[in-house]
Amino acid sequence: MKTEELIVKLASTSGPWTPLAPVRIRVVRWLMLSVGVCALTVAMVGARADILPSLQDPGFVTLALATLASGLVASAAGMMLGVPGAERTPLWRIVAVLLTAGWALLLLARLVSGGDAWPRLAAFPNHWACVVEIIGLSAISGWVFFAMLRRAAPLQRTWSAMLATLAPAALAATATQIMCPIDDPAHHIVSHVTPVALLAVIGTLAGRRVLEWTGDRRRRSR
Amino acid sequence: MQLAQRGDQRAYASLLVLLTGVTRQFARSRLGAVVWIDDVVQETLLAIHRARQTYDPARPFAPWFYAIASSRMIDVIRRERRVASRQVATDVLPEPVAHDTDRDDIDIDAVHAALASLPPRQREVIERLKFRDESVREVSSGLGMSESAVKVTAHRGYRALRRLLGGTRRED
Repeated sequence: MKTEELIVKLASTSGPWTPLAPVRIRVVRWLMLSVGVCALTVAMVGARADILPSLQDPGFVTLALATLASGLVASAAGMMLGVPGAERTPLWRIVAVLLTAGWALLLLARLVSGGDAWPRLAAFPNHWACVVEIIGLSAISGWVFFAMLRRAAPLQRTWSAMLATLAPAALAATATQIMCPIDDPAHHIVSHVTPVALLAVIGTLAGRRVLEWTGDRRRRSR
Repeated sequence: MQLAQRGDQRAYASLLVLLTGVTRQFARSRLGAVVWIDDVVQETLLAIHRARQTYDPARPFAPWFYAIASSRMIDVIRRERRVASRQVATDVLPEPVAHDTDRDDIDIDAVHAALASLPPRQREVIERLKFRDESVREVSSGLGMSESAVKVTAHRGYRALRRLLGGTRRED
């Protein structure tokens, strides 16, 4: 097809359209939904019995803030990537990954400093409720995130898919920490960090295809 | 773009015409005179059309447009590299041995009719290579194309001919 014919075709099929809301509005909308879902789950399941004293423990608060900040930054970075040219610096996405890595490293440092790190990890102190909570909460808000990104035009699909999975998973980890009564870093690594990391990997691999919008894949498969 | 957002098709067509020139210049300044510059232009126009709802009228147009154009240009470069890596240089291929029995099966009229339906550039390249026995180098200097562009154009032409003639045999 000649370029002139393509222009005629595109112009003839184009009617009025409503622009997407600005990135910050979309981030706030998504955060309201996912924080709401997390809060509702915490209210239904119940926070850990010693939540008020825990909130005065710097160790507990640092971990919760790390996952919360990771979720907030990842959501902003992910939504930014959905709009061409909106991301002025890759700093946001790098910070999101660093915060998540920092959370995992902090837990690892605590595990090592507590002594007998390997035997404690090898005992595999898993608690399925934590894993289910993280996956369940991530699935709900992650689905919405992907739907919002599909309405946009993510040019860097791998990063977008990773952030669209990391943001809900990190917020889900924050909510799970509020509900989980276990403070053992080995448990946190096995039942909190590992599901978040696995979700991020699976989301990145599968999400790349979901976020395809240019029609390249359709043309390749013809 | 703001007029187009309100449904003005003429404004949208004018914008796309304007962006055609800008994209062509943008791609040429980065890629040189490659034969697939029109692919970059068309892919960019399609992407702009598909992503048009992401343009925020409160923000400048240029960063939005150039982000899409750069991304599509990179995708087309990757695709062309993939295609080129599968190419076999036509001037290093051994000459096929002619078999009379095969030749009897060829419908020369059908071949000429299929050739006539190809785009002018592909037809010209194939006629020069196959009917006038010119080398790739001679064709490239005759048509003002690079040698690799001649090979790519010939390959596309052979593929189109095979499809038109209903052949299933792989040439590579």
